[in-house]
Amino acid sequence: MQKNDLLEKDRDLFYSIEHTGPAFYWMVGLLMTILAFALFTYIIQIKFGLGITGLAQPISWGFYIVNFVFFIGISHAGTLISAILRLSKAEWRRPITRMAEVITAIVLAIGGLHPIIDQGQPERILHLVTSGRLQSPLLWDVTSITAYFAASTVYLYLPLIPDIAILRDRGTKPRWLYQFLSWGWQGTERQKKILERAINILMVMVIPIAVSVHTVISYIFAMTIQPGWHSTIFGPYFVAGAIFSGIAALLIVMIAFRKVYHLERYLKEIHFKYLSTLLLIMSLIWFYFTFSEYLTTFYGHEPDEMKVFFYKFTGDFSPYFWIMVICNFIIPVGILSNSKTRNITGIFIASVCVLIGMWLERLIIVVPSLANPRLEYPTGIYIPTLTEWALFAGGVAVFILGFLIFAKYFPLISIWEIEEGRETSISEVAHRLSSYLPDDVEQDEIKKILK
Amino acid sequence: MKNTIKYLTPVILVIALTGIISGTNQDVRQPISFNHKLHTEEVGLACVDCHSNVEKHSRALIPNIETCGDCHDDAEDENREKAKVGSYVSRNEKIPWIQIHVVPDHAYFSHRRHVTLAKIECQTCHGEVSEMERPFIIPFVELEMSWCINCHEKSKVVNDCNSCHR
Amino acid sequence: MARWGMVIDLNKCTGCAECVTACKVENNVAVVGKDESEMGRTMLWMDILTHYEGEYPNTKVRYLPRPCLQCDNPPCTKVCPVRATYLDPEGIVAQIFPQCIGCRYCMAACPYTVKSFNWYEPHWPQEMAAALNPDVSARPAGVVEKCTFCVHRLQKAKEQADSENRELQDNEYIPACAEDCPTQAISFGDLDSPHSEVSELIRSPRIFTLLEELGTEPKVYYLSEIE
Repeated sequence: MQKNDLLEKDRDLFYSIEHTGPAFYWMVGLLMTILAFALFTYIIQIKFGLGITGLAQPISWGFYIVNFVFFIGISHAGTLISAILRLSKAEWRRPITRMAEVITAIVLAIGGLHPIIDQGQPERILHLVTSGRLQSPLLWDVTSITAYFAASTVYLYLPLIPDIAILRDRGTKPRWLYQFLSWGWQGTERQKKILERAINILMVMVIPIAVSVHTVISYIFAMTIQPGWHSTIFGPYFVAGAIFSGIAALLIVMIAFRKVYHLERYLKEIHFKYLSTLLLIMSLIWFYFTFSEYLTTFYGHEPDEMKVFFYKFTGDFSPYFWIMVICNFIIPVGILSNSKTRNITGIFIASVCVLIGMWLERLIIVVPSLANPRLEYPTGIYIPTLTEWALFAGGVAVFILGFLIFAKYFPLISIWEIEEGRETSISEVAHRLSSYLPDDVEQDEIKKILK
Repeated sequence: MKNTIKYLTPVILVIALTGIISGTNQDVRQPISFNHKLHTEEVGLACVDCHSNVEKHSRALIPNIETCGDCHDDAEDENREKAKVGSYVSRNEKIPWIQIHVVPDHAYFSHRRHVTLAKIECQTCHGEVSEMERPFIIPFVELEMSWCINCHEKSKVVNDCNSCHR
Repeated sequence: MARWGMVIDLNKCTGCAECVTACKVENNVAVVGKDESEMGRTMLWMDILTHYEGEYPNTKVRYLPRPCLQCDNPPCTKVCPVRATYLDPEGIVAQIFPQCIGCRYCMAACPYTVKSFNWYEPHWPQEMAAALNPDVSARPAGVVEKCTFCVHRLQKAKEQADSENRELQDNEYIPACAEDCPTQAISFGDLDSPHSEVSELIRSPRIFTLLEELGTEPKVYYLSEIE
């Protein structure tokens, strides 16, 4: 009886799995076309060499590395936010965590492939295993991204098991898939206990791994002695930027899928309000880091550093730099600090701006330092070619495609956690509240008010 | 599902077998069925009598046609193989031997260093060539880096990448 | 063991670029063509940097030949993930092409920007292709390369010395650039041997290295110009 009730109540959550309209297939077809084109250009790149990109000496890193840093940055949305929200027992997390975790898993896979795309000899990738040297920051990256990918896919999968079991019991096709993935979940007390423990362990573990991932990516740059890269704040700067772009990506995904799959009952204004507050805070933190980074450079006024500094502020890269400042700081702060503009549309615009701005930030970190070598070389301007754009589009296409396919087979909002929320959160919150308040406030009273 | 496997198995087997057969039986045909045994045992030549570069140069090279010409010049010999040599000699034309022991381009191997300085026997790398009645069609050892390194480590000689890779 | 080093006398250098040509021929450095070159993909193991001073008409041009500086504390070898570049026992920063995965991290880390990347499979005009140096491999597409102090010449010289059962002598091993310099501006030798030309030259008050303040300790020294 309970089960039927639940199914009736949460009908909307099965919508994406049970109704596949023509729009879905059109979208998948379109994305597949983009992906096929990206693959085609990559095959050409393998055949002829990296010469078909816009890279040269001394700007030998370009779009691929920028996108690598960017995509891995977005991956922080997920697991980190979801783990922090779970850890802090934020009740409003329930409809958000799943989406956040999916972003991490997909984007991490895309980002992790970028260094391989960038490699001149991709078939020698196994040299990293057979003769890798732990003193190279690139190897730190391989290690920590692999760990993060493993941890975050498990962290996505574990809370998914009860939902898969629900789908299995509903007889959703393909049955073998749910039969296999549900791992014999029956929802017994013992199973619940084990699952809860596993999730608890993972969410604590995942946070330091996530922080390490982006710190280590920043180390790729910071460990060199190049002007503009050799900076001690790069670790936290990159982590803050990653969380910033991650939240923006999460907000965009939430708004888009709420609209497409009619999830308004679950993703309410309040969720956007809370997350956008976080976005606003991150925007301020980002500005603080950027300000410190460039002020130190400017004040020290070291000639080599200043070459890079002026290249960004007034030189060839100044349009990108100032667009970045507008997108990452002025627009989001303008929109989000005003309660009138802080509605879904406003948040959406701010999030899109942040994604653009954060992508530009990665570009501004990677290219100008390379474009201004210390010795007097003639340097050209880096102009990415069609190949690089195609592979960028391919990356974005894989992201959307991955999300659509996930939504086709699995619920985007954790059904059992919503159910759990209905059953237990009121008494839990009441209990928690009473522990905050002076002893004379009765728990039952709070419960009454809450109901 | 089961049926697919049933039908696919023979297909896979056939593919695998053709792979194995074509992999082992490389159709290398040397221009002349050279007999090392005959030259060393009956004629009494030493390796370096013909492979004269080995001791003095880094590259061994195949003996040139003049070396053959020292003994062979009869293009009309009743032995067909001898006659072939004779005809190459009379035309002063290189014999198109197919090189079997190939060191890749990025690795450098000096015969002088190994034969003259380190006093390594030819047989260590090329096997008992003087027992061979037919020319090489497969190398005596797979010339892989691990094989080089093994010996270098055992004999405690330089192991630096730079000394072989250039 | 020797510690190979180079001293370039800027007072003698005329900027004729003979060293550049000698290096290109000796080491089979690919010729990329005009279009690629304009993109900034010229491959030079030895390059000549030009520095313009003063305002017209009182201008002065300075030339600075720049091979790989063979640092004793190289920023590039630290970051290589697969040990395709490392400091060999004789102080040469080795670059092992068959090991390189082409991540270009060493290029980004080198403060002197001395490394080149094979953006395409290298090719030479037909006449040149027939005259490639057999002692140096032609690199495939997708690997990083740079000046190696003509290390193949060192191996050859050592082998020759060994076969004559004697020590390696001064001036027996010289890179192509030093050998071909018409004004003998480039000296080469063992920095640790007390009587070698280079070890005497580095005691000169005119001596300096590039970007000394970075602590990379290059083994390519320069003698400043006399005004």
